[in-house]
Amino acid sequence: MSAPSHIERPAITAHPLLTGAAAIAGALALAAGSEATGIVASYTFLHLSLALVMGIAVLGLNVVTGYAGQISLGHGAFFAIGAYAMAMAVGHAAAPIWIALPLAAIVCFCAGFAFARPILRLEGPYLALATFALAIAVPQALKYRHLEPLTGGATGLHFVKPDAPFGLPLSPDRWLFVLVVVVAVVAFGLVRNVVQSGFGRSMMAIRENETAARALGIDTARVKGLAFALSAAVTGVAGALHALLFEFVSPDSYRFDLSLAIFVGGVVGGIATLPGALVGGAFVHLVHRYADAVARALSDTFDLPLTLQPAMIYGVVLICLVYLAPSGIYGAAREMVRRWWMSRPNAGRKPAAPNAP
Amino acid sequence: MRRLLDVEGLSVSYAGAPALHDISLVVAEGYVTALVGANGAGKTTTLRAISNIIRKTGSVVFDGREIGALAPDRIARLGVAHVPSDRGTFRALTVDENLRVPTALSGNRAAERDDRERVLHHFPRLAERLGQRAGTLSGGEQQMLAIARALMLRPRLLMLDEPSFGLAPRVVEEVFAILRRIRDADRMSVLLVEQNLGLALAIADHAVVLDAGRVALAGLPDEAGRLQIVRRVYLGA
Repeated sequence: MSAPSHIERPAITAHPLLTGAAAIAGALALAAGSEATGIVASYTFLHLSLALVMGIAVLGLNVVTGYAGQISLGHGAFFAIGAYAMAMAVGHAAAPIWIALPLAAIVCFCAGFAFARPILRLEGPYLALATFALAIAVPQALKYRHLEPLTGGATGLHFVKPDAPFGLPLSPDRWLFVLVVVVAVVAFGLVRNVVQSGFGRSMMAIRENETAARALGIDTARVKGLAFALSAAVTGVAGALHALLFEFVSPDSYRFDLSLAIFVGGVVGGIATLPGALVGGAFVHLVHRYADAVARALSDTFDLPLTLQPAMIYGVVLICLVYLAPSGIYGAAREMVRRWWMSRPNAGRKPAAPNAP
Repeated sequence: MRRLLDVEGLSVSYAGAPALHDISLVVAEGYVTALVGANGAGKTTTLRAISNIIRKTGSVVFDGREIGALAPDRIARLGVAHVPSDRGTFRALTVDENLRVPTALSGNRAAERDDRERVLHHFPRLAERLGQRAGTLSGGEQQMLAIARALMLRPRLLMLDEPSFGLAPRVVEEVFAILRRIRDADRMSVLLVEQNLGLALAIADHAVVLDAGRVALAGLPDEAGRLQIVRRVYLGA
């Protein structure tokens, strides 16, 4: 491969395998260290896990929306399907996690592929609407009376999460955190490889100009279908982990807000960037957790003549972000680093010169 | 002379309004056929119908095989490369990534490298800009990229829609010089749609004149034919 010298990016790249290994080792050390000393409370690990789980869900959406350019407002549906796959596999069949997780991924991959073939013919707002319908329909379908023995109907399904493997002396929250980190590393590594492959290139070509991609021999229906399926599988795995963290699934845990939150996470973090998915996931989780407290604190401190709703805080933060960082938090950060890099005293190469028309 | 592309009885309507009536034309293997005519005569529509991007009736035979019912991507993989007039640049991708879209799903890296080298031989300006985002290229460079990308398909037939569109005269000259080199080097069969009659007739071995969606004239762009074609296109007589 050629490595063109005038690419306009700073060179902050670490070896991906090393990064992944370091993340897992760090997570393990943090969990073990705090188990021994109690520096970090067990429930803090639960919240770290939840933020990371949202990051994985956003990563999944990013595949189809960020890279293949197809909007989905319905990824909460795959999150739910993944969660139920986990709950049923562990609850009904007593399956071990290392079977239940890939199973959830496969189920969501198939569901995504089946759903994608007919609807990805639609474009723009129509596609958004069809995926929106999916997000509405799945929780309803889960309440279906005749499926109650399987799904637990409207009341949902309890199950018991397995203990730490290999007799690790870790609390459930701590070892699940390590598990979530491992799954995140695998998911990010997988998506990174896909995006950088020829298949990834064909996804991005479709995003940029679908007609031109077809004229160059790309079977766009197949590529979009597989992209959607992969996307659903990754988000489904996030759902499976979510179920595991709570030992419980119910239709009302996966309402339409969840699909919106995943979408917002994608936009806020930075669409079509991989680290942006982590940022977006953390954002969504933090807002979910703290908007209520911030709203109450602000109302009390300033003696406001109105009651601040958490949704208002959410809205204000979103509007500010869209104005201040239109390419997402990660996109904005990367741009700042790039500017700094170019403005160094001897910035080596000349920047990519604007070309004469 | 071998018929590489044989179009017969091609008709297209846009929302009920007929745009092409019963067009027939032939592209001979190894030759350049120019499709000329006034604005709105149906030149672009003809290319789009051959690529099956729009609904049509009639028969399109490529290399002895009826391709009228095949999907556009299938037609492209059979070796019909269509360079649209809007160039279809993948703006956020680099020049190199643009070039490697046609081979993205083939999985043969070595062949891809060879093809790229062979194609870039004709386009030194692109070779210097491989890592640059395609959206930052000039209009002429984007046109070159569109042609180069089409060549990555290893086409048997190259269909070009107004390669001179929106380009400065000097850049047009450069693009056509490259086209001539490609024709001479690879004996490429070309179906060229061009508004600029002088340019088109200078490179073509055969010309088809469209007028209001019908074939008005077909012939050789020699001295006598030329005069007829010019009169037909500009005066409608």
